[in-house]
Amino acid sequence: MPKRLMKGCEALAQAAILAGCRYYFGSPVAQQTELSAYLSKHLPLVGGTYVQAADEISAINMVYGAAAAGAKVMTSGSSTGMSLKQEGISGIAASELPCVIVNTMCGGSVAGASCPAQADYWQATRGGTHGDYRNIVFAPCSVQEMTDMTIAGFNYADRFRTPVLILADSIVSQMMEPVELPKLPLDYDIDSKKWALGLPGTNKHNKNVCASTFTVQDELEEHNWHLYQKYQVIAKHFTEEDKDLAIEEYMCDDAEIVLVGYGIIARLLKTVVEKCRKRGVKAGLARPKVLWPFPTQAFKKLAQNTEKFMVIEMSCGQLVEDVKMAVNGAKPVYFFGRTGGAVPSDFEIFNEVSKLVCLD
Amino acid sequence: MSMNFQPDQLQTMIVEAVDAVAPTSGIVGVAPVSCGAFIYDGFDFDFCQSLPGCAPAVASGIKRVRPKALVFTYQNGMDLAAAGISEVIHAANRGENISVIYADNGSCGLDCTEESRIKICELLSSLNNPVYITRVVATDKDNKAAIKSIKNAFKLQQENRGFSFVEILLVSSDDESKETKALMEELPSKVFVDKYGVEKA
Repeated sequence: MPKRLMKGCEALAQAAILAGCRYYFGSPVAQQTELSAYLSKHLPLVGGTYVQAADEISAINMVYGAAAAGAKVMTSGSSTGMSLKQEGISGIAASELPCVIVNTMCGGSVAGASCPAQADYWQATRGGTHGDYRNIVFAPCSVQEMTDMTIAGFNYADRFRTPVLILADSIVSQMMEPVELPKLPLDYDIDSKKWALGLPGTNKHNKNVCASTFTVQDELEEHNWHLYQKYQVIAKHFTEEDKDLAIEEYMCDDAEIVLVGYGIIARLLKTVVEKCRKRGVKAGLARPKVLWPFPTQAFKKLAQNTEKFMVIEMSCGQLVEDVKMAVNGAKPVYFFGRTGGAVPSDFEIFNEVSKLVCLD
Repeated sequence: MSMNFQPDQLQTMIVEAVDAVAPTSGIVGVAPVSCGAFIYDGFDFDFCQSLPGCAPAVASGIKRVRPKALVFTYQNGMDLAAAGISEVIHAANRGENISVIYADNGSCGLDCTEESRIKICELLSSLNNPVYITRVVATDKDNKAAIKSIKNAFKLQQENRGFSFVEILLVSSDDESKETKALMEELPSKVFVDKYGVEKA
């Protein structure tokens, strides 16, 4: 299949169309502007609907309605917008509705700044707001992965009836690379979900209810345990059945130090690993591709063979906590981060690694 | 003043209006938060709960996917006129082809004070896109005007005309208090927008 040169967020948008997404609700804001713009142009060409919502809260609640009606639906935002969407995401997760949500992270709190960052890891992987829920979280590091993970995201969202979050950074979102777009069937039967609302031909006496509010404590507890069981099944899936999708390991077999990072940072880390190897240091890279469920078992296994870990992030340290929990004290876990829009250079990271290992 | 929020009264009116327009391709109601969240128990068609004030956005999403279905929201003051005031304004401004039924109990928001009251019909009437905006009074003895208004709203939706809004002041028939009279003067029964003349039809 021929490759096309595409921008990350545009490739993601096209992948969504290929995956059967026909509804997008959102606004062209910050680093995902081109995603929204692309869909405003291309969704109508395939009979889809693009609605530029007045704000992020409106957008996520339109997603709520469209998902409840059985559609493959998507929204996107950049950090601040994601915070505004959180209550809606909680409701969508608790109501067990499938959708894909894209966050092209920018730096800082509140309005932050339109610059690269990875400061939303906790928000993404801990559900994001109140309630006992989780979202599947993919972390692409290339334009090709923006494509592949979006298609996988729609499939997993439908399979597990849960929101899937694509946690991208603004570099992956904005950079251009050759990408291979798969040929997928464009047909999606919007009436195939029998739990959906407003199915044609239905009328009175044929009732589907989409609800996540319970006044009886026992019912709410039962619902929360039901969600928990589903999350256990999802975690098991990524540990046993789809391990390759969960984590990429690079030169880890004999690594004395394993560098850990996700998204664009992981690409820098590959260069650092190669630099280390040239200097006689056995370094490796572990890149979580799925941030929730976190590939805990893979890190436990890595901890059996390596001497130490170093986590590198564009934040003050968020992923590092999950790595520490997974390693569980078996080996030391170090951290190096830049924040507020600063992207560490491979040279800078190499210097930090040098402090932990003996170079030839 | 005894302007009690009485979901069963509203249910009866909505059911009568639904029966009158006889939709054939799905009916979806969208419920508000708080006491109205469980109104679906009283209906035998599809329902969706929504987050505080977000029923018009949820209904917009449903309607875009299911354009042939009859989609309406059922909201109270706390939901529509406080947390959700932005949502109802923007759904109206988009001319979204949904019907919003607003059960007004005389207070707008968690503060529940008369001082906080917002005249929603008057506010929405300043927009260009709504096709039908009306305020009616319904009592436990007379709800005909309210049923007619809801029916009008549903008919307009079935004809793909656009956004319709029915505010219903729920009043006890034996309430003759000064406060209630003053409120009804402040919030008069009136057709604010009727672009297709359904009131006269």
